Amino acid sequence: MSRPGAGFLAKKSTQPSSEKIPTLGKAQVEPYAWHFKRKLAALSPNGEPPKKATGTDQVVGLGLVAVSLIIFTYYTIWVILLPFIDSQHVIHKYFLPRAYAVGIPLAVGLLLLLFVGLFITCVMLKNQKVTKKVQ
Amino acid sequence: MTKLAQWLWGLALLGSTWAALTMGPTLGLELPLTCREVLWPLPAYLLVTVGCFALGTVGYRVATFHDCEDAALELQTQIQEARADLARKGLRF
Repeated sequence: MSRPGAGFLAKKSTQPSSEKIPTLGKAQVEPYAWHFKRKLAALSPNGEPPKKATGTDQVVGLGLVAVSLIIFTYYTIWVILLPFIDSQHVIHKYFLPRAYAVGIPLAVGLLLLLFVGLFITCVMLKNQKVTKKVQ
Repeated sequence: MTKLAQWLWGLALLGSTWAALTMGPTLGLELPLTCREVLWPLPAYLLVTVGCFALGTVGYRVATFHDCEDAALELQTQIQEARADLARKGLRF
């Protein structure tokens, strides 16, 4: 009995099918009413179904997904597939020399670290200025 | 063993395997040229893959997160109340 209402329905199904389908009286529904109230509460307070993500959220999210997929496929082809392709094939024209396959992520990683460090420095300096003003 | 220790252990194993295979030719182990070509950028490749996966997951969750406008309004009124309260008590923003 995974669902709370399943016990109620299971009781009904043990009756022979020749009987007419019983109607639900208030006494039978009442104990399970809190389940329905919880389900309603899980919807928004107005009783509407939960809204989807809107507008810019979807655009930004799908943009991030697309960017990550593009980077992943390009990098995978570059690092893993190209060595197995004949060096005279035309596809090699679209990919930089192999040394950049390690150089570019390394440079980007160092830049990221630089920005994170700069951000932390700025925040710490701002905090120090605020505490000096208060003193 | 803590999670950190497990991760470091796994990374150390993978790193030492990679180092042994890439510096193998200098010690006498001969691999075909294509395998060596694929092998030596592997750590960078794994890092980029993990980064792309993280970015993609964040983007997907941003795109599918449900809006709760009532909760947003409630939160904004609470923020304004808190700002007014704290400003009365003397905290400057």
